[in-house]
Amino acid sequence: MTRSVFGHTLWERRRAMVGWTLGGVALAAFLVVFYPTLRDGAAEFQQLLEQLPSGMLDAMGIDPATFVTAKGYVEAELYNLLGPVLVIIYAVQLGGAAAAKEEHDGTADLVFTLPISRASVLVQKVAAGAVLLALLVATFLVVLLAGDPLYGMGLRVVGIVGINVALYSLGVFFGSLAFAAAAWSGRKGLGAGLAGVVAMLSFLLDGFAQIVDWLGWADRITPFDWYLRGDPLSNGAGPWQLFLIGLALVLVAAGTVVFESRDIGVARNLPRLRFGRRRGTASTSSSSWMLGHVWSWSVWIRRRSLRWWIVSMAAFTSLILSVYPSVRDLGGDQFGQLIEAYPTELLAVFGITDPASALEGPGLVSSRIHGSIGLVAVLVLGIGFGARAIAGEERAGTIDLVLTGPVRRGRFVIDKAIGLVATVTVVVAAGILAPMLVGAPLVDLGVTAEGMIAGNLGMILLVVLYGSLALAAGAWTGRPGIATGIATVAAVAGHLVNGFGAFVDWLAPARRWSPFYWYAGPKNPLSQELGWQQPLLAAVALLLVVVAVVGLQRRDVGV
Amino acid sequence: MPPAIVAEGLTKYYGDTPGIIDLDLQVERGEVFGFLGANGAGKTTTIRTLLDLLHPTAGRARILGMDSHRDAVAIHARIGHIPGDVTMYEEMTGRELCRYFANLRGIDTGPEVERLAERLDLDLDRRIGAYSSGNRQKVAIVQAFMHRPELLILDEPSTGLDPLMQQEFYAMVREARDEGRTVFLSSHILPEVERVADRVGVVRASRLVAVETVEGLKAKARRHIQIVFSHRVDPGTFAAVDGVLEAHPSHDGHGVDLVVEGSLEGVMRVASGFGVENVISHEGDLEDAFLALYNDHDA
Repeated sequence: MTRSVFGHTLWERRRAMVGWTLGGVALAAFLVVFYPTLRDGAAEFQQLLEQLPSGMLDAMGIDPATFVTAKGYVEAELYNLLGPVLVIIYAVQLGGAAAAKEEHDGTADLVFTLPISRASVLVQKVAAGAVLLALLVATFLVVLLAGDPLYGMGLRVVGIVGINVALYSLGVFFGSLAFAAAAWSGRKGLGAGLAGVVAMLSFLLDGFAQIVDWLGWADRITPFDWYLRGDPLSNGAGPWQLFLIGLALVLVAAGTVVFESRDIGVARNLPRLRFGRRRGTASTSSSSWMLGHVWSWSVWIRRRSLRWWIVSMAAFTSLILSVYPSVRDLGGDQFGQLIEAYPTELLAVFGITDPASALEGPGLVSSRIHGSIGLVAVLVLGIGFGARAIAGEERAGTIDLVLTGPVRRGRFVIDKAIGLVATVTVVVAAGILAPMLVGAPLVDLGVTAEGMIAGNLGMILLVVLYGSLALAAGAWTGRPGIATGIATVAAVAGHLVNGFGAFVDWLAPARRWSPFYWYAGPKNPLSQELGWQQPLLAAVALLLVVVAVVGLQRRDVGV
Repeated sequence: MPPAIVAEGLTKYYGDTPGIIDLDLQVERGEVFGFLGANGAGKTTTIRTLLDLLHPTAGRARILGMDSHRDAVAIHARIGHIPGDVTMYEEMTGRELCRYFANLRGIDTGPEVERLAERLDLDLDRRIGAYSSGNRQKVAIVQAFMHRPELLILDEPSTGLDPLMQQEFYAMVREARDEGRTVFLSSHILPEVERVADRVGVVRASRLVAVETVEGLKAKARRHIQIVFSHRVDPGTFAAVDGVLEAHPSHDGHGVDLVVEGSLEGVMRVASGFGVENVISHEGDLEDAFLALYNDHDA
């Protein structure tokens, strides 16, 4: 595998590749296995669907003729949200790394003084990323091709191939965007983050453009629209998916050209975001305070990206609140009936465990922010923080400097945990809670004060819990990649157990053990009560921090 | 045959911060050229600009007769490079890394890698992440020398090596020169450069302030020495000796502190009459050692 930059890039990622592939198989298989459950309760639901006004169905992306068919199921479960989320997260990581990992790792000066052009190095890295991404999408393809006859789904082979080609083209597009941004900046994190934000916003725009008049212009210009245009699950992939690939190629070419003219090792940055404070004067005293403790340092060192997190989350929250009136006015009773009759297994994956409440303000906002994309984003932040808190410093070698100072290991871990709490709290409070406090009365959202506290406090605690798990895994293994993997798998499992446990009898007992249940309760996070749930989340997080303390104290650092 | 390196007005700014300003320099084939300067003086910026890792703000450089930017790939095929800040793929072994880079160069360097590793006493079969920084530096040396390049561009190459290994490394540099190859090496340590280089360029505050032969440098460099005698000696005895700039009594009484420019011969001749117990030579910092050169330049 060391014959070329291409081979070396694959070799470097071999472990993560196995993890992603197993995850892809598990997810797709899980969904296929549940198909018969859905089909058995379908007839009644379909009748109801057909009575609904077509405009509303369009808005929800529902075709009554196919919705309760295997096609509708697979589309809703795998290809509307979960599949794109996974594929895009993987793709933006790969794209950012292709352009800037060597610089990040400090190996760029060796590679780019070899007799290979910069363009050739980059193109080989992009090609390796494209192969790795294809492997993930191929797991969905293979599982569906195998499951289709086994479970009598009756999908067309051309459709199964087509939808996966489309999903791949969506991933390639956002991966290339991350690549271009990272090639321009020399920062892989900036590339992945920027592409992630664009993906999130375009997903929302695509969803809302069909419902909300003043967003109508956005209907046909989002990558998410192009991804499913032409109905690839029925007709196979077509020109729009090709168009996405074409855009991706343009982005890769642009990134490569920009990289040619860049100074290697000299990073560019996005403009700094500053909140109401002038340069100089005040910042000196505040940063000296921030540098006074390990925990505040951990926040301080992320100050630039945190500002972007807050601004992005606030924009996201505001957008959702601003479309709420349109969604509410559209639906009325019929919408409510529909939601109630919605095959509950479908909703489970989205974390909607109480369909009746899904149309109320709290339920609707939860289904976008507290139980869906918004939560995913904050979880990514928290797990990333936790995984790097100890293992990341170990990898960078800075842990030796800190631990040989007058800092006890236990104190070091606890400080990192406090930093995690502070980071998550700041993002949730400023990015979600603050816009909600302003916006909720304006749009008459109907969230109670208790729900507001329970939802946002619960979100902080849930993310801190999984962040603490990553922290503990990092403290025991010293490897940020493994820590991220463990916490991510645990979070996905907790989420699925909570969702499916609401409807599947044999999973019901397990549901009560899922942190997602403690967080969201029987309805949704913003309708949750204050009670034993929040202390329980905090207690488990605290327990995990203790595990982390013990882990770091027992281990040889740097081995 | 064109010179190994020609820089003409080479300038690199990072925004408003200067890296190197208006560098004119010529390095001939077959010489060892030492590029000397304190930390932050502009050595690494110069090297990275010559290697096309940075794009010059103004001016240009020709390496082996080719344009450093336009012909970068062709140049890279004929040079070896040790970066100033060595980090490598931690998951690979030293052998795997050398094989990878050899593959990317499209050549087989197997036997040469073995020979070099043996010479530097380097175990190639351990993970780079598990190497000490000295061993990591050895891997960097091996990958720079393994294809026997015409020109070696080395940024503080002896960092982290123990004295024995430093000797071995200097021997490798001299052998490369004896085979007609060219070595451009940066350093902040005067004795190191004295030991291996034919000529020396001194860079301070982003500007090349002097280019000297090592002999010329030795003649001009100032050093601080302390001579300890068996009994008290008047420092005034040395004041008039050739090359002595300053002479003071040592703090501990039985010695004399001297600042000497150029050869120590005169000092030693006088000292030998007084029962010398010890001679301590302070390397001194670079600023001090090059005061003479800088003064020439400023004047």
